Amino acid sequence: MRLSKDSLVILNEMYDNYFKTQSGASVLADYSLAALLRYIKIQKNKISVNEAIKYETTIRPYDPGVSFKDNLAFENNTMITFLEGCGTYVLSGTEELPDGWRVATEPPFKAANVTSALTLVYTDCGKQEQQTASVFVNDSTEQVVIFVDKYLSERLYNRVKACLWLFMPWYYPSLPSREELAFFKLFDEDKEQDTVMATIRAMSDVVDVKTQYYKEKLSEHENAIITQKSEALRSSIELVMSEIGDAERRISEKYAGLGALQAELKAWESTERHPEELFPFFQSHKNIDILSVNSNDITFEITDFLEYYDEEEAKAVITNERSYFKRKLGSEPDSVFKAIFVDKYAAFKVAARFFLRGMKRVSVVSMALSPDKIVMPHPHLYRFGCLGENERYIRQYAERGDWQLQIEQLIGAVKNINFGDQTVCEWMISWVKEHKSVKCLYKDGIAYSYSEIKAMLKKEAKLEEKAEA
Amino acid sequence: MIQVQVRTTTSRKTVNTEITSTPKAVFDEIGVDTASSMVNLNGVRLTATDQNSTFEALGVADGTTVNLNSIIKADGANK
Repeated sequence: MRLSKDSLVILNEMYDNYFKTQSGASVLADYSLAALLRYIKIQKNKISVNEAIKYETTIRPYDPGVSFKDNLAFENNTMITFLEGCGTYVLSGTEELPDGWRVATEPPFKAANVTSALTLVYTDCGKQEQQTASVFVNDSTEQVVIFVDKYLSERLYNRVKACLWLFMPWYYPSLPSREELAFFKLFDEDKEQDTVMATIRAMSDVVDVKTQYYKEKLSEHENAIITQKSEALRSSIELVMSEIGDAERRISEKYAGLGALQAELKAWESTERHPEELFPFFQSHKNIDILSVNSNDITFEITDFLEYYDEEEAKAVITNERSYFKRKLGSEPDSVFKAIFVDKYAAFKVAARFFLRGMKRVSVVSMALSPDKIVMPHPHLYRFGCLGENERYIRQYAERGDWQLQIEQLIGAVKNINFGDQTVCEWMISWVKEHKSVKCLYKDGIAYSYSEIKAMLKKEAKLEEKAEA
Repeated sequence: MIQVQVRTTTSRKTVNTEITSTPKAVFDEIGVDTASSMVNLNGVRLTATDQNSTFEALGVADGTTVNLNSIIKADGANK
């Protein structure tokens, strides 16, 4: 520790550096004045050492560029300012002062060598000198400005300081203590550094500045370290918590994946599942033809009759003269589609191709023609490879590992045609008219072509007419 | 006694019943409405009349296991 207990009372930011390069009574006197005033602040205002060391004294030249009033303005922490007129300004006695300031015309106490508050008489090199110093005080901010018309000589500087307590009635309503008076008196004499320091030591003994100073400094240091450490730890905790959150999310995802795998395993090992259930299933479904089997897929074709549709919609579309159905058929009178979809005398046989992958999920194969030429490709599944609303149910069955019901749903899809879908139905009309080999199962149980049914219907109509006649 | 493995859109159950019972009775027992569904027994589509016929009449032998499926009739094109 470089600072001794004795010098702590004059601590300020510059102190340490200053005494590294300079020494001497004059320099020490500047600091000892500040030390004295801070000591007074501590004693009289009951403030802490750290608060007291903020207070300064200063010497500065008068600025002729601004008013006297503005020259008196200075920072709140400056207790005493020596303002040097430097010959550029002479007091007129009518100066305007800032609010709160007054001229100290009479000292409250009689002091040696002080003829008045404004004139100081002193001896310099055996010659008696006299210099005027005007003192301005601010009682509310407890500040003092000492104006000298020329330059402040060191002798005058020390003399002013020696009686300074006279102009600080807020600190000294009565005489200072013996120790304080002794210290003030030091300024009026050329004392050695040791003597001055001895006096500072005496004051330091009264106020244990070291304890106070370091108590506060160490407390600040401790708080700063605690705060710094707390913030660092809090930040680390947040980071770890965040990492735990991420890890938990990943674990949660892993558990979800594990659950799905376990559910799938359970489905595969389910007691409801019987070994060799593929063959009995396909064997029992006469409307399904297996086309190929490999290690991954079973490709099969479902052939069935178009039976599932909205009958009201079919009737409206087929019998309405202005419907897309009639437009597609043109002017040619047609009773076949009515007989099939409205009167239900006959039904088209359609086919569509699918595959079952890994006994898990079915898919439709588009644009796959049946080898059976009398069968029409399913208008929707062949042309568009789309399962429509069936897809929703198939996905549902796939999620629970039920491939059988997926295929049952495919059968339903094959048997269905949607008369609300103009594109699909127009494609069906075109296919039937262009492919003469396509046949329908008629009510007598025999398969007939489009033209054959048309001829039969004509014949039946004539017979009916005859019968009625 | 026969074992009927029933698969529907929403459930998958196994029901033990007599060959004198009917598919409709089985569906009723497990609370499944087949009004707008396509029903098949071992891959053979059942009409409304078939669903009210006994398993015996539908060709099921006593002591066997059969699959009774019901799926929703859905439209090929999304409406």
